Amino acid sequence: MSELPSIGAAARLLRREFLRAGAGLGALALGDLLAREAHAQDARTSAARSPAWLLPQARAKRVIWLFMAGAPSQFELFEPKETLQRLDGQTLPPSLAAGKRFAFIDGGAAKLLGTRRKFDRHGECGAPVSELLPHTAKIVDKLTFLRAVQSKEINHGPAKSLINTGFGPSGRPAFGAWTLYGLGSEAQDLPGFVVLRSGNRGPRGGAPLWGNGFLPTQYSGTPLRPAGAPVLDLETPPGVTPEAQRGFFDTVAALDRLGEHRADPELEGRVASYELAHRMQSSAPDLVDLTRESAETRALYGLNDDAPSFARNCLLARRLVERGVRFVQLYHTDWDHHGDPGNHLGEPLEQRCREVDQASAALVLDLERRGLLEDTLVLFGGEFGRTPLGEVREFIGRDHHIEASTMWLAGGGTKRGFSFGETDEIGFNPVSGALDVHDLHATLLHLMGVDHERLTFRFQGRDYRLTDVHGRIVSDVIA
Amino acid sequence: MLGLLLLSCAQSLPTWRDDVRPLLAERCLECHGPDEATRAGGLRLDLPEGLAAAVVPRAPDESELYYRVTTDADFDRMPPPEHGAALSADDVALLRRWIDAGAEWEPHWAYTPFGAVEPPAPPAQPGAVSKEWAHNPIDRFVAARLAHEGLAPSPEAEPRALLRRVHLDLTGLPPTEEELAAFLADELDDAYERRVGELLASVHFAERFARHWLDVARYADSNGYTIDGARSIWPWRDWVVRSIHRDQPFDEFTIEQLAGDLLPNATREQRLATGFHRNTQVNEEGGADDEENRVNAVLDRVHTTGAVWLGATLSCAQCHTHKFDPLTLHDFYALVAFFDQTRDGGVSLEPTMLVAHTPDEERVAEMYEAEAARLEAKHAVTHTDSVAGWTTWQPPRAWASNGTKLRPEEDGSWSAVGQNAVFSTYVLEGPMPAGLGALAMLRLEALPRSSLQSGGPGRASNGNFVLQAVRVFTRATEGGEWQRIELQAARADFEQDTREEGGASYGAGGLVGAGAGPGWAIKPAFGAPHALELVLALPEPHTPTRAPRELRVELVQEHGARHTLGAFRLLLGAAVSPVERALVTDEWRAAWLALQRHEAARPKLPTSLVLEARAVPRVTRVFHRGSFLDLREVVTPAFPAALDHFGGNASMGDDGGPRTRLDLARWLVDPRNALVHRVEVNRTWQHLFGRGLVATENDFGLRGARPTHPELLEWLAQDFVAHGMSRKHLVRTIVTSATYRQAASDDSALLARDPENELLARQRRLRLEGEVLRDSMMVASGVLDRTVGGPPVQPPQPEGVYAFTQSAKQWTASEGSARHRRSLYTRSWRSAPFPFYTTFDAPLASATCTRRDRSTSPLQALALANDPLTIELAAALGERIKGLWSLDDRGKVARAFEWCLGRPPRDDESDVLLEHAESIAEVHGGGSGWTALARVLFNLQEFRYRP
Repeated sequence: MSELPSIGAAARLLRREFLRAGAGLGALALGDLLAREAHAQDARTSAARSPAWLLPQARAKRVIWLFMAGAPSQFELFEPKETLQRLDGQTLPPSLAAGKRFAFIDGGAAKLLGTRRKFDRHGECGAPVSELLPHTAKIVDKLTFLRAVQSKEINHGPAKSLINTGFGPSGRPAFGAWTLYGLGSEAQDLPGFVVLRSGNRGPRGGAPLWGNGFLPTQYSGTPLRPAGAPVLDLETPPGVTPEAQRGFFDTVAALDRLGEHRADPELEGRVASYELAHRMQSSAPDLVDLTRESAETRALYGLNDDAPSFARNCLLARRLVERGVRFVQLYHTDWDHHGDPGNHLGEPLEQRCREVDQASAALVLDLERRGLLEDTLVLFGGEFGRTPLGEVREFIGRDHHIEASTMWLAGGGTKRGFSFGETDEIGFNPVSGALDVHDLHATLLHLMGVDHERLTFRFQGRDYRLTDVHGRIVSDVIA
Repeated sequence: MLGLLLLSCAQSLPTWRDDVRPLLAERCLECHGPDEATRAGGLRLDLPEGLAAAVVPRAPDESELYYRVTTDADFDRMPPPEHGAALSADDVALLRRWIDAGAEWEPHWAYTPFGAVEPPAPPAQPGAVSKEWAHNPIDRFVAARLAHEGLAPSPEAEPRALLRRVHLDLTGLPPTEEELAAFLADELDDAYERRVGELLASVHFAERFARHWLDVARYADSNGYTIDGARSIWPWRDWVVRSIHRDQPFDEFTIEQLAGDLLPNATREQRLATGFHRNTQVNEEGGADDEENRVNAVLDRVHTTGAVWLGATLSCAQCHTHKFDPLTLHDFYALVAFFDQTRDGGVSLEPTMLVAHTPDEERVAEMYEAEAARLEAKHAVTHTDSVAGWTTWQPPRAWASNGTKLRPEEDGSWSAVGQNAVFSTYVLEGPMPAGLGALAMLRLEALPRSSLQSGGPGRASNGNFVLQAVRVFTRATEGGEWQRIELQAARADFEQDTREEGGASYGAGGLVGAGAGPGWAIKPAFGAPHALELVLALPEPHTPTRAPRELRVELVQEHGARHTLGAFRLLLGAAVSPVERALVTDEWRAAWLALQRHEAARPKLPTSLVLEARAVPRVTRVFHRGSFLDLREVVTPAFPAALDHFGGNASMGDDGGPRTRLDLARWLVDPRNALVHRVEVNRTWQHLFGRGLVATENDFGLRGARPTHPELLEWLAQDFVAHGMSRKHLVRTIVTSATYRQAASDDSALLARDPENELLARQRRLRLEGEVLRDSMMVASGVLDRTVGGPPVQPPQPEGVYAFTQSAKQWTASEGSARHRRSLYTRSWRSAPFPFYTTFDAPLASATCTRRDRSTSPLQALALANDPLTIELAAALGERIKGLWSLDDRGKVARAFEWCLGRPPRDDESDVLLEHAESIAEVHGGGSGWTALARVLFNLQEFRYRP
């Protein structure tokens, strides 16, 4: 086992690098440096930090993932199916239902459900988008649709875990954590992996969805709260003036340099982490202060006030990537339209679409006009799809469907006005271009300039990958 | 053998372990290793038997292995060109030298039995390490290595730092002012050793090491995943504290946690201990599959047991035989089979047990449980009597529509779980029971359950159900066409007649014939068992030779408003039963009602989740490619052969039955099971030095790190076993060594040479865990409530913690001193754990954590600077400082400094602090200066790090 001794060398190198960067922080962000330092010191890390997984070219530098938690219905948004309309009310042929998993409905007895939504083809590419997403319809020529994304998990918790971590049971590192581990962060005074949420509650699953798993804790996602101080403990305590807070940080630093640990070579790094914390106290509120955005920009996103909303988060996402944040994930909840009051394919779905449509389209447009779209990858979708079969409760809905769902990608080296994958006539199974969660991860990593087969972390004697032993790069979607 | 390791240097002959095996692992074992599925040419190079086929000792030119790696012939060359480049000249030379020298093979160090090991003699020549330095055998091993490296140990830490270190390491609390003063005043030679003895005897030692164990056990107070409901398992946490406090030997500690329920005459404490493996997550969301939940818990138990006791990654072998370690797919499922035999699983948190804290409570609990067992047995007997001649039918395939799931119970019944659907059809199908003979009748029992509304048996809010239709099918062959069997007659013990209320007559007779009635229901006779018997209209008698192979029953329930069965049982009759027989006997009904009354009077005591063995064994099968939906060959419980290095399986004897969890537990902690004891002492070492002698504390396999001090690890493990597996003995041995007592050196040459402190020429400063930081602040501010045990409490936490969970958890900060209980007792939600702790690297309790990270991040600075709990405790310390009315300001600063850091400040430090306090007091007046000073002290590196 010859790997271990090299860790020390790497740690020393990084420390030197850090000291050279000094208080000015140089080209490397401190947060990242601290993370790297601790990483290098981590004895479980057999392979010292190495660029082995870096590809010569990266098309995307950062990711914004618009996560529609609960799983929107592709049949109401992106996938009109003439045959499904025709067969509305009929049961599934037994050959199709056999061996399939459903969460709630009886696959043999449930009836196919044609959509009640109107569809038109849009843009030069002619992509179908329903009346529920008029703004998205206008940008289809900038998007790549993935129409046959598959999951393996039939329930929300495990499926969210799977699409975030590549593994159903929670506890593995999230995609965002892997990208920080693989690429570091360019954010000067913000965490490199930020999670936002909107809707009337948090996503099911909570902290493990953006957890670091067995990776060092620095790679964990940091939630930005929708209201109040965006980061826990960011606010100066009540009754402490800004000057007193400055005095507090200065006093701590002065005493650390005088104290028993003054000769500790690690001391300066730790003093600097306090300095960074202090700077975050002003930079984070600055980040969420949207009054500096022009009226035109706010209108573009449909932002009427500063109340927590998906639109506000989209604008924040742009501001975050502008500040070098590597991975931003926006959860918008309550897409789980089974057919209960408050969650069916009528008004609740319309309301969800109103909440996300304009702002997600605006995000793409805004990134583009600022020259950020070419190296920012935007991703829109849920944890799985919904059944072509109706689910009859008090209202009509659709059940969880893992055979196929629809996502869209924009920017970051993906094709424009393109569509990949196709499902059968009733949208049940893929007929071409199927890709699973691991393929999606492999492809996104590839766009970010990372070889998913070489991005490994040794834990308990095993070199773990985000894509486990799977993952196929779908080069068709790359421009 | 181990000694060779120390003495071998670059020029010596290549060895199997250090040189050859790593080379083969890198280049050859993927195709010629343990995994038979990918093994090429039947050749296996990791074991002597396989090597014998390819290597002729002392004759490289006659060795196939050597030929294959040196030949130019494309078809012969190894590794094959498509698998990578040829071996380098150095690698080839290494193989040649190894074969020349005799091609010795050695087993992997961790998988070998204990061998003789003696602490080396102190260095004879006065040199780098003085003869007097060694306090105990640990130091002699360390000194030998240091002498070899030409290094000297660091001097002993000065007393204040040493006391602070050992207090924080052993109890998680810094010394109080009085403890520090007493220690400094103690001039006897054994002052330190006596202090260590007192710390080990303190319950705070048990609390500190319990926290380490809770990490390993993935303990939390909630169920995890999406809903993350609360659970009560804190009594198990208190069991851990009690066990460590009384220094329960590690073998008993293990056996009771893994299999306490299986011990003969198991005590309540031993049953409570099994909560260890009930710390698995449960997905409670609607539509979750009970069996999937259960299987995930079982797999987690195997992984956790592997990481914690065996230092092995078992997860690879869930899908395929391990590529590097000698664990086969079959080994993995043979371990699964041990854990597959418990009654828990699914959304239900049962089984749980009542937890007593006083002798009176214990009597109450025991009486309750004994009576419950008696009543359950009576209920079973009266039921059996009432269905004499019937055969219970619990087929392997059962499902329901609209999100409801059917869970088979041990007593042959079914529970409807998952979605409480508005309407649902239950389908059950499978082979006819062997020995039934003919089939003439079907009996459906609607069973009440205390978990159902109004006691059931239905899932409607009043406990009712309406069974619209029963459809029965048979077929002669598996996979053949189903033939519908009509019903000829039906009767029930009770039939709802609500015509007077404007309802209908819900009689059993309505099930016979087409559309005859609204179905069978039982209002208002809720909370009691009911039975329906159906005579099948068979076209011809089903004789034994003509009996159909398979039966299918559909229970149609489309009344709406959740009028579906909550629990039921199906029985088959070979002949039409006599009409005068009671469908539900008075005895059976009475026995059920007695059981119900008893359960309703369950004592109001806390409960805790426990393991209980199933009465009916479960058949374990290999999951194809790791999926529980694809079950393959049957496996029985067995210890992994390659890890059974001491022949534990053979020596254990065999009582004819399958091995149990108890056998597994006993095998793990057998005094001869060197691997397990090495893993345990290494983890203890890690808690006291920040790093194990084996850096990969959860991987002692072939790819894990080698021990830095193999003989020391060996000696410690054997000494641990020789001293009755006493944790306190082990900790005392380590912390009284000179090695432990060294100063945390800042010597840059030493740090550059050995940044990870592998050589142990110094101690290291370690960042304190969030829990210890909070507890330290409470000690310094004098508010710590040292109460031990009890339900979890809620310290204040910042707003917005639940912004990112599915539901906001209830978090009302505890009032009074409960607010200042030790951090061990803080409530922990898996979806949103207490942020102050996770910011400082506390694990999320999703999976076992055998070592915490020690990261540095600005979020930690924000938490310690601004969190409401810091501010509250700084205010408390400020008050305490203000109370020093007889001291001048400089005197106050000195005392506060000493409370926090265990040493007096120097003048320049006092100046800086005073200046800050004064500048704050000038603006805000009053005691604000002292609170500000307290806040600064809590944030100093010296406070945050164990010296």
